Amino acid sequence: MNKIVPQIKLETYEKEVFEIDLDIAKKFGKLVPVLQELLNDDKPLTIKTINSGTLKKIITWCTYHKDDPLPPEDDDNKMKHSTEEVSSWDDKFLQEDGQAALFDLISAAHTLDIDGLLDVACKVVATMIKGKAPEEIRKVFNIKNDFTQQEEDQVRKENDWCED
Amino acid sequence: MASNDLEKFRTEWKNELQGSKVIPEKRGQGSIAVDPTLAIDIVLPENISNNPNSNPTNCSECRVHPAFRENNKCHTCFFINKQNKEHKTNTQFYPFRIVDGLLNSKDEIKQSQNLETEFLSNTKVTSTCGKKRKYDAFAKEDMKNIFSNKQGRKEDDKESYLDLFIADLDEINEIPFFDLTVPREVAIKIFEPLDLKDLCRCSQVSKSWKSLADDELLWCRICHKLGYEQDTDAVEKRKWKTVVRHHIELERKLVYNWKNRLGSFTQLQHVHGGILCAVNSSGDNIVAGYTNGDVKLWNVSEQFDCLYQPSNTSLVIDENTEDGTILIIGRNRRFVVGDKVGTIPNHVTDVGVSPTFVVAAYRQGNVDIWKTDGGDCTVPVHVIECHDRRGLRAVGVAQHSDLVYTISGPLDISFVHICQECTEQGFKKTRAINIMDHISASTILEEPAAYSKPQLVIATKFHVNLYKTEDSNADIFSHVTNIHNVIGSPVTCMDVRSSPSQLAVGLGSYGGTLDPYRVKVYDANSGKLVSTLYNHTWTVTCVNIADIPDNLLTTGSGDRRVRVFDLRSENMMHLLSGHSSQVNTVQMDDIKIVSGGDDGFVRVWDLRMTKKLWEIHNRHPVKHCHFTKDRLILGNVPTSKMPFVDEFESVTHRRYRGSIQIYDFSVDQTTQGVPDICLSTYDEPEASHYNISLAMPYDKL
Repeated sequence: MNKIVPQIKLETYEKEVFEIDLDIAKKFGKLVPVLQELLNDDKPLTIKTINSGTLKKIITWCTYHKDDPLPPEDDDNKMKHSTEEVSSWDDKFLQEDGQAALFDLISAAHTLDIDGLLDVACKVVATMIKGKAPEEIRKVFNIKNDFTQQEEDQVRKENDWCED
Repeated sequence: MASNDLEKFRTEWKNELQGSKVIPEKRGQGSIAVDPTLAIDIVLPENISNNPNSNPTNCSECRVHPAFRENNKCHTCFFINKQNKEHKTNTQFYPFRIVDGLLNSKDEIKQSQNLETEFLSNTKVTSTCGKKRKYDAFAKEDMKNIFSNKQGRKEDDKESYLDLFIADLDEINEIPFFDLTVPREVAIKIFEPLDLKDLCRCSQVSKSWKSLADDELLWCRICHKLGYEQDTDAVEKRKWKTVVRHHIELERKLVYNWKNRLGSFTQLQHVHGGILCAVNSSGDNIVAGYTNGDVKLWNVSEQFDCLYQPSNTSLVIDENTEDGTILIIGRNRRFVVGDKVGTIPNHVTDVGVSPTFVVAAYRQGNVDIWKTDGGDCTVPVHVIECHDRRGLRAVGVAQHSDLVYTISGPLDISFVHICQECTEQGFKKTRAINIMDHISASTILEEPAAYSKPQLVIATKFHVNLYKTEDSNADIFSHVTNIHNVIGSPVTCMDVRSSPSQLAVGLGSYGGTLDPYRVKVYDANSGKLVSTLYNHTWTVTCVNIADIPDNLLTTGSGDRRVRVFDLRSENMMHLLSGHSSQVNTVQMDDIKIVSGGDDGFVRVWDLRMTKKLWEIHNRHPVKHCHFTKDRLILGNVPTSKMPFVDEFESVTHRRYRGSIQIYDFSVDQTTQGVPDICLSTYDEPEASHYNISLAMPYDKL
């Protein structure tokens, strides 16, 4: 029995049109209010800020996590939720294309309001930061140290209490 | 020097505004000098071929901030790109000029193809510097699209071409993400799982990271997670980072003070004419009972004390004396009745204290319960009359609810009196349980989730039972669960912890059992045995699990040693020897163990180094020894309650009395009340100046 899965169309910034199953599109928080319109409308919705590669990844991620239970609503559990470990699949999946793609994904997840993906991706970035000295962080994220020597000394002095 | 620089800058600036060709001086080597006209005015391809080395990503802004352009990362350009997105007409950026030119003049196709190739070759160079991106092919294709479609509907597509260009350039420029592209809220979300150490490091990375990592909300959350100021909302306070820092530094200072024994010492004022019988403490409240029937309460933080007297001072016959000497029960010390001199034995046998109640059990059978607050506090709120006057042995008070129990009775029968739910008229619910055995230990198990439903743990010789109220209609504490049953090894001591609810039972021996001296730890809810700990060579005299970090347990034993166990592996982690007699009390936290012995010594041990930090000695055995975060309370209770007293001595000599001492390790004890100007840390080297702080005798410790 071939059931026709309702799909919506999204156009990325490269003008590539993606057909996305409704189940998956429901995960895009931003689209939820307009889903019905999109279903009826044959013209694809253009999202200029997302490129094809990122959208492809988002769709893969959402497909993989399609059957995940919904995250708990109340605050207490949310705190607990935020300390959970990232699954190894997620970790590998998010890091395989390098940092730039990961940040694209974060921006896109933020734009589309995909909570789960945003959470996981942020956690992956956090693990990249964890346990590193400032100099190492600069190296990893390619950040220019824009403090003057004096400022840097002062900032270091301000923060030296956290080191044992 | 400064004025010269300023002058130079002004002329440069003026020139720039006028559009004249002045190549500004650069301090850094290797940075590319840019022709300002190229950046601003370039439209014609001739200009480009004239300047083949020009970098297409440079713009006029870059000149002002040469530092931003290292490794071809033009931050400022990016800003302009963003601005251009919004104000499309204001295309002062070089590539857009090209496109504009292309779109506006059909004749320049050939030249623009030259331009295209050159632009691509340039971008190739830049893209190799950045992260791997499938940029080139992409751009080429787009360019081709641009050129093939150009003639048809150039006006409509103008914007999208620009968008394409902008996006492409964005990719070349590899912007550090946190700084610009990721919205602040997302960046904060990234920082959320980090702990304070990582956050502090992040704030040293760059200016924009500093502003993110010092975010109030992040630090407020960390503050709450560490357990400080949990009642304060994020908006009620500013500078959460400083708050956290303050608390952490205080804590470190406290640890330092503990380890080095820096703090103030107070000996509590003794009650006249009595000898110390029992000491107990709970938080700020310390209570002591004396042989003359007095019970004294001290509140350490509020600096007040209060003396309670027994409610019953009637005449009773002491059944213990064979000749039936009549003794007058009261607070008077000696009475002559008939031809006998009786020393009043109505001393306090045990005291209990909670934030709301003080309980004292007297030898003659009364138990008085007072409130710690309330106007006339010397009148008891409730009195329990125990029918059997022999051996009122123990009292217990719940810390988080209205529950008091007492244990009395001769050797083989025990009566447990329980009172619950205090009102103005005394306790509403009471119950007496008779147990046909000797009660060796008892305690109350209170779980944070159910403070209103405390459970009573009672250990007889070989059994431990849990009493709780199941059905609100039935009698209180009528539901009994058996936890521990070991015939042959008597229970000697017991301790409970509330989360996870565990019960530790220390065992002695009547001989015959193999390896009899041990501690058994049970899960209080399921009754399951968690672990059994061996290695003791004599009776386990005290066990502490209540205040201890997870999965650890510490014991004191008759073999004069203190042991620390790991509950998971059931192995002994540390063996601390140094006491010269049986260990009476033991308590532990993350950094230290405090043990008190029959020899009158209290010893503080460093948990990590497993060595003694320091010790205190007092004359009598240490019966009560409890520490909180910043305070250590010691009670040395004499064994002999009726010492030989000289006929002519009106007051018991101080050496027989016993003592209660408080050590306060909180920060800056020694310099309280001294003005700031008089404090010195000896960090300031300016001794030659008239530095008042160096002249004063007060040290900031």
